[in-house]
Amino acid sequence: MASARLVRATMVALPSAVCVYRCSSGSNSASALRPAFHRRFVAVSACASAEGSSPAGGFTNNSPQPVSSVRISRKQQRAQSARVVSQQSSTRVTEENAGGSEYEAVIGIETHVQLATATKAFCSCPSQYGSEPNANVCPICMGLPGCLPVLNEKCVEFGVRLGLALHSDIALKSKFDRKQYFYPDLPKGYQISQFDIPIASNGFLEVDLPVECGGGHKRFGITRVHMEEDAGKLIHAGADQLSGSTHSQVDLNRAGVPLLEIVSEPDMRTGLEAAEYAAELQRTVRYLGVGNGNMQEGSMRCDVNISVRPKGRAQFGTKVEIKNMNSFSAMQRAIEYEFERQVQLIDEGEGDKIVQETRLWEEAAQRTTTMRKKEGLADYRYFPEPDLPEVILNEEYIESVRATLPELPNEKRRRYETLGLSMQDILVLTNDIDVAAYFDAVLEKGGDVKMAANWIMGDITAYLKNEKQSITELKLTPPTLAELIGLIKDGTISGKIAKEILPELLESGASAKSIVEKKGLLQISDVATIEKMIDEVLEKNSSQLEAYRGGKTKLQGFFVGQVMKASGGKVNPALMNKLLIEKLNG
Amino acid sequence: MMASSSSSAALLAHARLLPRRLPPLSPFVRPCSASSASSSSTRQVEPPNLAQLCDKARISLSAKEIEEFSPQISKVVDWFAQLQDVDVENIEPAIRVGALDGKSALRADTPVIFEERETMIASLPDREGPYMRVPKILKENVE
Repeated sequence: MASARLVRATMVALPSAVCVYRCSSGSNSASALRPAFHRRFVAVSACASAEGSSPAGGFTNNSPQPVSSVRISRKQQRAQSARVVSQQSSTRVTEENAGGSEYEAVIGIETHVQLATATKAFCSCPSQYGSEPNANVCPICMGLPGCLPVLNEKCVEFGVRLGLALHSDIALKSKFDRKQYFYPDLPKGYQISQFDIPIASNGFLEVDLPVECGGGHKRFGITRVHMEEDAGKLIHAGADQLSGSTHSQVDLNRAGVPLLEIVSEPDMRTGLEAAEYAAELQRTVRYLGVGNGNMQEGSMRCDVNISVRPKGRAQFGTKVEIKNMNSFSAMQRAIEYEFERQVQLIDEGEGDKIVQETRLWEEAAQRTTTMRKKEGLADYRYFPEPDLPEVILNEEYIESVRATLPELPNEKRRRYETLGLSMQDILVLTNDIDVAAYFDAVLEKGGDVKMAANWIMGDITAYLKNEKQSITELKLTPPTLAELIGLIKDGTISGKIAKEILPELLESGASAKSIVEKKGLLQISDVATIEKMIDEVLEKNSSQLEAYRGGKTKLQGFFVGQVMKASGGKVNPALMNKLLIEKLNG
Repeated sequence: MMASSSSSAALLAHARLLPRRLPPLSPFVRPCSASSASSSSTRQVEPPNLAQLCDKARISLSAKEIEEFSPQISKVVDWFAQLQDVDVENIEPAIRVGALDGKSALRADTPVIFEERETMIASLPDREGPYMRVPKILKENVE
């Protein structure tokens, strides 16, 4: 959008490259490059999916984005991403040893986030997703003559909220502008947006890269955040895409739904960094509660601008825009593909074939294709929206919004670091705000940090996945988990027993202690009782005892197993071991 | 949606419709004194290219109509161009005319279903089930 232009206009010196791809000069034909492409996608995607945080959401067959005229089957896409997720490769193929020239990608991202408001941006129509087509419309969002837009106060609040979370400058005075273009999903013939004075600008977002991809902490610049309205939704009849359709159907439920557009500085250098930037933005949006950030539903849409240049050159290459990626791993793969495509053209002396254009990511074919070339520059004829007064804020208001900001993902990660957790665990725990909140609640009730992390990331996550539940629906409450951990720590029950009673805790939500008592599962830590058990076992296995005393000390494990079995797994293992050794050697 | 282009191109076309010294972009960015001085000396404003303008606005005018309208539009532009002579040095730029108190201009986020929705939908020229039906979208319109 407009912002893209502003980004280009305001580009300054960039931080030095963080990751440089090496391109094999040997692979000169497309076919020679193909297998390498494939390997790389797999490796890189496995990495993205490890950190991937886009939840499974409802699907529609409708285009969530008016600009995406090429659609492929969602089923295909899902199948594809399932395959990608199943890959467990953790190394990244970068053809490190190949010779040839060094290039780097310069990547900037424009993200549209739908806001979790109850009503649209400029009228009181409900803005929820999934209503009957054209159920939520009125003269304002249908662009009928003679009506006036009135700005939703929540849009301003959310804009300030996200702006502050991104450490941006908030404009005390900003305004709306009209962006003119003609398309059937845009009833007024213009989109109300913010052009030259966005609500927030000049911020940054901090990201911790996945450990399995090499890790690292990065800061990416945010150029601006501005408020605007969404367009309606088109369904192309007679075909699943625009070309070949006989006519189109329009649903204006989404027309006028508030968006925030977040424009990054061109600070990313790899597909991974871009995907992680987007994932962090999604987390931030969710932590703040300004939107659900669901990429499948189209509530969060990322457009990538990428150019390629020889490493060390300050000047940018020709910028290409990529659209139509509906997951972070797709974003990463699209960037990897586009980078290789451009590098190959440059290496073949056909750099002039890289033109400023919009390309679509085709998930099924795993490639980008030309959507439209920029012949004759687009002209949106922006001008100030005369129907809306300027947006005036004061410091007091901004501070009141700042006071309601939650602990943000990066702050949470830094705090968990001080608790002694590994970055790998931290990334898993902080990925979802509900999981992090659950973890925090367990800690608050005195649960051991590492044990709480392990229970949540292990058995509880597995259960939730299996039951298709979210952690907020879990019957096992944080205090109960803290209680369970306490019982293990003070030796009341063994870890083995804890695992045994977990299913009941998960199903019933009863307290851990009550189940332990009801089932008589308290750990046996009484010396006399344990000694009695050991004596019985030794008596029953006199031949093994003889063999042990004759030097076959490996049989100790056998006796441990027998005593454990006799106790029904309830005996305190450390104490039993100590007593057993005394008896065996005595 | 986002076709990008350089800001200058969008501005240029925009500026063609406006007197040169009216800041069409950011009112916070004042034209530098050198350029304003040169433009104020010639109070000339480039008239719009009507054929291009019609194309952008999806309006068809015949060659004869363009010939007829062009001088009229030029007159209007010249009339507005008088604003070029106003001295705006040391005046705080106004983002919008008639600023309101921010709070009073905002609406509470409370949903209301528009009561006359049925009537409004019924008046659509073409429908298909719950949808509005539009003709085949031409490729050149793709945003």
